[in-house]
Amino acid sequence: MKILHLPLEVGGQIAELCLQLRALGHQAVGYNWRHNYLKYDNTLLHSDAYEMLNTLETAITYFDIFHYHTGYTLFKDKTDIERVIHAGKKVVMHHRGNDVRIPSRAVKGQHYFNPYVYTGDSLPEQQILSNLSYFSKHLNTAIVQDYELYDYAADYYRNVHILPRPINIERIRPQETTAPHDLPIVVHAPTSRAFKGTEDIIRITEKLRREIPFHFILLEKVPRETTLSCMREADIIVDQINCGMYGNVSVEGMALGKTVVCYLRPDIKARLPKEIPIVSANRDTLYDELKRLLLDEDLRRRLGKQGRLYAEAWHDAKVVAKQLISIYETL
Amino acid sequence: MQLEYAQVKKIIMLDTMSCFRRQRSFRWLAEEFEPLTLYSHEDGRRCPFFTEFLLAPQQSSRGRFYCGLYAGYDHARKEDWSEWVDWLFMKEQGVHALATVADLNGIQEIGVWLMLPYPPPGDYMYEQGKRPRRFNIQLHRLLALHDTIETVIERWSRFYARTPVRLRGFVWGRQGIPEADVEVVEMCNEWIASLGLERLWMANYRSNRVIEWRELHFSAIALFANYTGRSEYGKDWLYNTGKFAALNGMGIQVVNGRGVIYDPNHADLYLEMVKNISSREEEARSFTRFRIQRPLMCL
Repeated sequence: MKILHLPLEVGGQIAELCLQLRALGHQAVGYNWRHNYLKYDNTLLHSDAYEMLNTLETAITYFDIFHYHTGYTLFKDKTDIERVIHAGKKVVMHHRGNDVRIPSRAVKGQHYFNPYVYTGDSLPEQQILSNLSYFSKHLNTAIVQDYELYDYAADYYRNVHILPRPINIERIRPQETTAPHDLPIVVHAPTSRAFKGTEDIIRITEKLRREIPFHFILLEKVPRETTLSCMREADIIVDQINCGMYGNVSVEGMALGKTVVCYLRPDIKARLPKEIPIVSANRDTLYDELKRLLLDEDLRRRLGKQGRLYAEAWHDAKVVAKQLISIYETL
Repeated sequence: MQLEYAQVKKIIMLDTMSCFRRQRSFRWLAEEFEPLTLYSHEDGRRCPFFTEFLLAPQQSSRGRFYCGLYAGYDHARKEDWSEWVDWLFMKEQGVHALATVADLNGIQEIGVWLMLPYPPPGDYMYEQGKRPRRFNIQLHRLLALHDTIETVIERWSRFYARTPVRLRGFVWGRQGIPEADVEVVEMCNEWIASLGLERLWMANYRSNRVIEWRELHFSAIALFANYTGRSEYGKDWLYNTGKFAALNGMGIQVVNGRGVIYDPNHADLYLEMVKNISSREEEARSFTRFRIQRPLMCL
């Protein structure tokens, strides 16, 4: 199959999918128009909307599958999707978060209430609803990365597949030998402070540091590789305490064999594999959970090992790529 | 002083070699070049038409892509780059055919601009063997360009030195210049400049780094407005591109395209824009590009 991912990279996941799809014998190309401090490598073709648009006609002829991400398309009115479909090519939309996190439903749903979630980064509610209506009018199938997003998309598309976040298990792995630190190191690496609950995390860790000595490292606006290298040195990684579902940082933390703290909404946690080793905490419980972890090195070590096993079982990019192929085959 | 429309430098860009989308190979024989180099007045007089040609390679015989983002689909390797060089020196087609048309019609000089194959940054193998080259190493990208340019220049001096065709310079093989390309572009352009040749960038109006084109050591730039009539970029983009280009000493690309994103009237609007700008602005230069090889425009 010839597959085009477009138009942007999301936390290194698109590059990883392309690499794994290529390893499976498919031709996978990715466009990226998002250029920022994360400084992605050159697995994808870094470009801009104008250059991408100029390739559209050839791309339509060349590729079999158009895999769009995060609700973005090449045209603002999104009609390039219709042109691709009209040419007889297969199209799938991969929703990633703020493109479908409907603000009102993020706070309250049939089986949950989440007073912590921040939706200021989401698109306006009406726009999300309008986009979902448009996409689902033209596309039968969407992909989401977890159960939180599944609930937003499920009412619209005929088929919604959950494709776990892929991670390169061979490359992102625990250190061979780890000499214990004098003091535990807690790392928090937000891309959006409000979404991740960073202000609360800083406040709570400062309070805790008055009782227990530990290092707290805040990583912001640094390249992804720098973040990963710092996470390798960490003992505890705090992903987010608001949203209710774990993200890339949690997956990377687990793959590195670290103890991961992240808020898991109870109804979502109930649908996740039972063995999930993430310590769930929100702003009301973070103080106690973090204190417990800081005081118990054995617990941290145990959770770290379980985390690695969990990442291998559920997020290995090789496995995820095969799942993706089976989704493509249904289009 | 107003710049007369006739004084505007016009280059026509032609796709060359194979193109899977159009399912054809562009050899460019003398009879195909003739209507591009000469036109006939109603009274029968024949006058020079285009005298500057930009030749842009599409795909090799193996189907690998030479330029643009396409180079990341299935990139051209060393054997494909060599095939492109060989194509430039094949008899009775391409540059050779252009020289023949010029000779037969008494055209004293025809300028040729060559779009370079693009070495995409990343894990792309260029040459296997004892000393393999990969494009994830910046030096290897630069060496591939250097070797190829040197070969072209050396063979050009042997084959075309006594013909009317003149090698004007080289054209960067992508519309955008991402971070990973900056060093390679600068070094490659600096080297081409030292050889006394031009360096042209065919960019989009809002391409990143467009305003830095001189710092990137380009000697010329031509902007594409991205107006095609059936995409989200309206006529305002077309006129703004013209004004921006004129103010910054840039050229503009005039497109005559066919396909789902082109409406039938876009070419007329481009012509109107060129005429407006070239009659008003001293610095305006125009590079003419046809997306397809049909000389539908009369300038």
